[in-house]
Amino acid sequence: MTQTMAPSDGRAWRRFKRNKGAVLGAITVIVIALLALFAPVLAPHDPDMPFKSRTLTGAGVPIGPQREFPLGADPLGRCELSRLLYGGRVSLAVALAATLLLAIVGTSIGVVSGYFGGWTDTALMRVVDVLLSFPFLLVCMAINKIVARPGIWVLFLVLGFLSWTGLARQVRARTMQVRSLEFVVAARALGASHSRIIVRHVLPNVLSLVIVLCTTLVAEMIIVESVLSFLGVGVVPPTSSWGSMLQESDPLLRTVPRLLAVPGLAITATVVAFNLLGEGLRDALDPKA
Amino acid sequence: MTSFLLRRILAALAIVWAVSTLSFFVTLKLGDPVATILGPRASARDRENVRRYYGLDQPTYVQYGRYMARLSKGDLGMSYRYRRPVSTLIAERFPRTLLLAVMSIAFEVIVGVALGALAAARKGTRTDQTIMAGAFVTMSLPTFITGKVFLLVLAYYFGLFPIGGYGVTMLDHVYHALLPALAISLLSTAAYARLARNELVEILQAEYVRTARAKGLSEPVIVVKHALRNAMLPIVTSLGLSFGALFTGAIVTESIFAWPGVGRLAFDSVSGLDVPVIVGCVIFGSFGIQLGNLLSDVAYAFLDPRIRHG
Amino acid sequence: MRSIPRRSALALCAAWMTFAACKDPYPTPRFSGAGATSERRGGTLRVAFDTDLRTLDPAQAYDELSTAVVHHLNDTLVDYEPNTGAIVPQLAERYELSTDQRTYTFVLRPNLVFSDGTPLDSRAFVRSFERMLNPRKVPCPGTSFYHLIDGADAFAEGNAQHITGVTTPDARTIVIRLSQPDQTFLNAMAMSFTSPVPVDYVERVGNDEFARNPIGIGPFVLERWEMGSRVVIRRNPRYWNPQRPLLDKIVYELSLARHLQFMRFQRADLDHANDYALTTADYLSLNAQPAWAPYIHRAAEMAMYGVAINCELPPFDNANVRRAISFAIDRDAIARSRNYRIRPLGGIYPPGLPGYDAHLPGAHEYDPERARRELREGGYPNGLPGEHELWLTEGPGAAVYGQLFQADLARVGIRIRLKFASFPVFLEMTQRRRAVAMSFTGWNMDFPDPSNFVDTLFHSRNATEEHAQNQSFYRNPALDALLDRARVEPDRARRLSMYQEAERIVVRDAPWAFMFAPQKIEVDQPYVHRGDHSPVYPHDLRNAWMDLPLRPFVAGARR
Repeated sequence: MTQTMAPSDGRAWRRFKRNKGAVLGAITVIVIALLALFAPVLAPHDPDMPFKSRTLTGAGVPIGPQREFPLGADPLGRCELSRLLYGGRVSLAVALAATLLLAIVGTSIGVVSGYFGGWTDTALMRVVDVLLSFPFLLVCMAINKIVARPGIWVLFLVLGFLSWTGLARQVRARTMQVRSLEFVVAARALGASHSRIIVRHVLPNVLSLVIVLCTTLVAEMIIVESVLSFLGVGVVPPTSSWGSMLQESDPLLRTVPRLLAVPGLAITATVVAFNLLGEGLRDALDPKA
Repeated sequence: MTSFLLRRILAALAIVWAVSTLSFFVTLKLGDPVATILGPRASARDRENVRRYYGLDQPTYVQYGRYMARLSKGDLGMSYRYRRPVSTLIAERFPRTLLLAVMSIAFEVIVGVALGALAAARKGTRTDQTIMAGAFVTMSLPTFITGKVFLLVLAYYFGLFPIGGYGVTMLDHVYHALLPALAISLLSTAAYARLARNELVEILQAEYVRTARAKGLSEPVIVVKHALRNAMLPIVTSLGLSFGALFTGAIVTESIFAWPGVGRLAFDSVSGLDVPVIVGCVIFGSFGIQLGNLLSDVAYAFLDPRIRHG
Repeated sequence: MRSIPRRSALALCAAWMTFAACKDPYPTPRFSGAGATSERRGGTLRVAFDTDLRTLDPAQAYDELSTAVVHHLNDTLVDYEPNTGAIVPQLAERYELSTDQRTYTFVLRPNLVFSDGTPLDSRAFVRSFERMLNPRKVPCPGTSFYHLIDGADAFAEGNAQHITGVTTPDARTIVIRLSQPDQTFLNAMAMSFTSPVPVDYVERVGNDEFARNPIGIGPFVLERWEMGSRVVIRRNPRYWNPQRPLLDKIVYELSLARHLQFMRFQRADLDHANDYALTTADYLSLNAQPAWAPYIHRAAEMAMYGVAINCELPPFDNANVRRAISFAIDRDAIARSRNYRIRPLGGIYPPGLPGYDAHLPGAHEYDPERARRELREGGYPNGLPGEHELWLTEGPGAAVYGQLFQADLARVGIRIRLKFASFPVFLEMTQRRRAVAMSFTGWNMDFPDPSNFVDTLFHSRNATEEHAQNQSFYRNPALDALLDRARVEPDRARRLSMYQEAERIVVRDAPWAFMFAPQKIEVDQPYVHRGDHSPVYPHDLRNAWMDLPLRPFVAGARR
């Protein structure tokens, strides 16, 4: 049996279930994820196909919602709903993949640093200091500039590799706590190897912390992705993401506010949902996080 | 305290050095200044001259050496687009960014802490719930959406604020800064409100507060005089961090509101591939972040008698 | 905190409804003029740009904003007559061309002085001219316009102290001798690179300081430049023409994002809105409001946009493939997505340019059947294999055209990938041989003459290894010969018909997929009178005046 500081699963689940906000957040997250996952099935049209005179009026204004185009058309006469669904795919995929990457990097570095201490710790924490002292957004923009073929992959790598520092610091602190716990000290005295202690004792104890932090980090990544796309250094057209949809809505803002509302509400709803889920998980799994 | 400060300053300088070195090598690949400076019609001879002027005909290690030598004197090189020193460009724009930063931080702290205190004092009531719910949603709103909506509704439709820009006189600058400062601070205001509330709730249950209550002091007096002072510690420390982050300006907000600060300069130089300015802004930003960390550490050491370094 | 979701939803709905319920507060203009019928002096005119001002040195200014401001601070020997576009003397009192078409003689007006009082004679002019052409003194982007002057190349390379072809027989006369006749030389002399600057002052303060605190000879002088934010210029009391300018001051707001400009204009915080200030929404709301109609100005812009196709890179060395690309483009759909503010174009010359041919035989148009046929004839019955890159400059503008182009080509079986690059990288790559297959690009005239389009873009002389102006790397000896003859042809009608012939050759070989010509659409406040303005310099306010004092706007009132 693994000894942990976190409450047992059954109790955590009961606590989570009682938190209505968390449940709602979880449901919303699942629904949005399903919509994005099944975008090719659900989308009524090819998201990159302009329908020209069918969707743009003689003055060049995109038509409003109607049966064939449930959310109307975008400024280029493409199906707004299809772009929203496919855009959600991109936004969520980038955010989730980046979070996974930063979780792996951040947890490994945090655990190694906190467990071994000494010069390993010092060296790793100096790396963290340097990374933390880069102006994040500016560096993201500059890196997107340098690469020959920007796009989803670059976005995910940049976000993942630049934002693990906060997580690593918290994991490190937790690892240091765990390391000084009695049962770990005992295991060490009994001659258990470092890798065994890390796998059996440290990781299970930091896992709940990582899960809680990552849930809110997904929300943050969604926002960062949309900001970068909004600034024109995110996904490459014709690929849509919620941020690029917002950017494209810009020139029509005052005439067709729907074009701001659709991706804007999608972003807000997703972020709120992930944050609610994160709060719920924190209360349930790791109140100290 | 002195040796702690000294060590801290040395560490900060080392980090800024690491950042500058990294930025130098990462941006080496980025564009040639020739097209930026001369445009499409220049002759081969003119191109050669420009390359020599910027020392780009030299090997990398020579360029790096020169770069570091200049940097140690505070010289960040020459901008490709403006053909002026980067440090001058930043110096011209920094007061504007600073104004925006100071105004938004003031707003964040005052409004955030006030709301947090109110929520803590009315813990569990409808007021508390409303404030916390508002803070929660606000924290989920991307700045560029709120900024846009503010601009359109408050500045244009209601005519309460200027439509972007910077203004002419000092008072005018402050007036122009109100809306962008509000847009920047919204997110952090919510964060401070939550932080302040949670700190206060904890403190209000502490022993000495209960004693104060027992002595018959009124609740507002307790919140303001006893609890708030103790709750300021985490707030002051995170203040240093937000201050540092605002050094490179709020890139998004400055572009939306056409605020001619460092953030706008950085954004324009990324689009125009003005490498010396990009690198200059990154270094300046990291300098700001280190300064913010330092201030926050000092404040922490100063405010909390239990922590006395060295 | 159970009520968070409900309350959040309510708050969002409320915010949204407030937003949606907002009505445009300024549907009509706010102010009219006093009703003056003739020019008046005075007033401060406020305009805005979304870019930042880089330099005020006429030898270095070549971007739109720098040129616009520099144009008001400086004069040139000759200039364009606003209505006809003919070249007329400006700083020169008169000029002559020798019978062999190679020697130009300019005689300066008497008693010219710079805004600081320094006199300008022919020698001072030549010193300034030589500064501009000396790469060791200043990096001027326009030196190539003047390389036909005798000795200009030797001078630029540092092999001569002076330009042998430029002489000053007396204090008011400047003689310029060319190595061969050039019908566009006067156009080049009307460009602001040649504006005289006080060289002593420049050398005393240095180029960088001069670029910020310039002294010129034009109708306005610099009053204040707040970096990144605002430039104010005011009337030059020493200007040689006492009738001009009419305005006291012009304020240029810098780096003001486009979406802000028109809101400011509607609130009467700006007096003039440039065409690019009008977003789609602005343009539509403006059109929907008849009160604005008299104050909207539409003019053809002397520019052409399209896709340059690299004729050296297979499969685009095949003219069938190039024609297939061009005939696949639905130009009307593109114009529609821009509210018909651009006009479909099937050839090189935009409407309004001398030599424009409204009935150009073989003009490119939307014909997907023809596109498929061309592909079949070119040996690709099943569409073009592979994915091909289209290079674009960053920014939402080009992205719109790129995506529509991509969708149109997909319909005939050509797959395109969009590659966005910042302007410097875009130039670097698209102007290099065998580097880029296709690029969305355009040409904005330097002066109103067909040679500036067809010679620059399609002469094989300009298809160099690097930094090629001929971005399609199209080479046709017959065309080269025709262009070389046209360049020296003195008879205007014959010359224009030669350029029309050249256009027909190019259109047949389709090194470009021509797409559209933009229209310039601008709005003034009712109290602003633009006056005659230059056909070449955008944003020309030299003859503008304001009808002050302002009164509340009355619909239908005389402007």
